[in-house]
Amino acid sequence: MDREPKEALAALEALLFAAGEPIGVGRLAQIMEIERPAVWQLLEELKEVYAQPGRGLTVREVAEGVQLVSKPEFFPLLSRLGKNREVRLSNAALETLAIVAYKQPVTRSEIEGIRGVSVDGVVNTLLDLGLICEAGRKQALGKPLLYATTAKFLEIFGLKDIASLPGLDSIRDSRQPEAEAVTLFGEQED
Amino acid sequence: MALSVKVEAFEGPLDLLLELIEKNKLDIYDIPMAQVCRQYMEALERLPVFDMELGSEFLLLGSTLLYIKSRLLLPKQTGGDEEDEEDPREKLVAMLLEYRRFKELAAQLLDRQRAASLYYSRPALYSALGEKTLEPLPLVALLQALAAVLDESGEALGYIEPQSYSMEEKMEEILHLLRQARQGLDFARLFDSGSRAEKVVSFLGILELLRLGAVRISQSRAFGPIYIFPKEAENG
Repeated sequence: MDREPKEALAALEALLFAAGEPIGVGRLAQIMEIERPAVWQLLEELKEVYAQPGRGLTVREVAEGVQLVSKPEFFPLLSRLGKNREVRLSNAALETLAIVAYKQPVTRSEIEGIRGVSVDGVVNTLLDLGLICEAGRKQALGKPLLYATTAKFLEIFGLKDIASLPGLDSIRDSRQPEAEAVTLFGEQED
Repeated sequence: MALSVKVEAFEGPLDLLLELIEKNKLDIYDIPMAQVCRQYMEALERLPVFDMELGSEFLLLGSTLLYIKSRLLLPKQTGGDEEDEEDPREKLVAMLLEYRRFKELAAQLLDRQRAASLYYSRPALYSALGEKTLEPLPLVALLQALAAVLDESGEALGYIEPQSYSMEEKMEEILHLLRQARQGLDFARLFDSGSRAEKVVSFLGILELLRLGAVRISQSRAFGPIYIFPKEAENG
C-alpha cells in the first residue's frame, strides 16, 4: 500500500477504534495490506502521538494483540461515567484460575489435588465467564477433560500472552519430574 | 482457645491448615502435629454442619492429620534398610507448599486484574463486517443448541422410565401360563410382546425353569415350533 505515512497512521487508529477488542498485529497487517514490521512501526508512532499531553487514549499490548484503551489516569473520571466491565472473582475462583493458568492444560482432578476441595462449581463459573475453556482430553484413565485459559483471560488480566504470567518460570522449574508428561507449552526441553 | 477463626471464610481444609500454621508462626517444614491437630479439630467443630461436601473434605484432612500424629507417636520401624525413613509429614508439607504458592499467585493475579481494569475499552464494532472470532464453547452449549433444534422439529426429548423385570416374577408368570395350557405352550408366543429387556428376562426365566427341572421343552422337527410343557403334568 502506498499511502501517505500520516494516512496509514490514521487508518490504523480507525481500525483499532473499530476493533475495540484486542486485535492481532498479523490481522492488522492483512487488513491494511502491509507487512507486520510496518504495522509495528505505525503502532510505535501512534503510541508516541498518544503519549503527547492532551490525549486521553493509548494503545496497550494485550491478549496476543493490541487494543485501543483509555489512559489509566482517567480511571477515576471514567468511573463517574459508569463502572468498568469488571469481573468479580471469589478467592476460590481466583485460586482455581491461577492453577489453570500456570498448569494448563489441566484436569479437574489435578486442580482438586492442589486445592484440596471439589472444584466443579468454580470450574463451571470460570467456563461461563469465558475465562477458561475446554482444551481436549488427557490421555489418561477416563480421558478427563483438560482446561486452559482463554484470550479473554489475558485481556482481563492485562497479559500479553501466557508466557508473561508473573512467576511462571518458578512454577516450571519446580515441576516434579513425574509431571513432565504434561506437555505444557510444548517448548520445555530440560 | 487463643485462636479464633471463622471457618466459613476458608476456601478449604488446606486453607484452614495454612492459616493455623501462619497465625501461630509455625515452621511449615517442622509442623508440631499435636498442636496443629488440636487446633484443626477445634476449628472443625465450628464448621457449619449443613455443607456435607465441604465438611467431608475438612474431615478427610483432619483424619490425615491424626494419622500423621499417630505415626509420629509410634516408635520408628527398626531393622531393614530404613536409612531413608520418611517423615510422615513430608507429603502434607509438599501439598501445603504447593497450595500456598497458588494462593500467592492468585493474589498476584488479582493485582494484575485491578491494574488492567484501569484501562477502559469498548466492545468490537465490526461484527457486521463478517469475520467473528470463534469463541471456545463448552459442550453444554452444543447440547443446548441440539435440544433447541430437536424442540423445533417437535421431537421432544423425553425421559424414559426405566423398566425392570424380575426373573422370579417371569418364572411365576410362565408357570401360571403353563398351568392353564397343559397341552404345552408355544415358545414363540412367550415373546410376542414386551420390550427387549422383558424378552431377555423371559428367556432367562425359561432357562432357569429348565435348570430347575420345572419344565420340559420339545421340538418335533428342525426349525419347527418349540413347545414348553410343565414337568409335573407329565409326571402326574
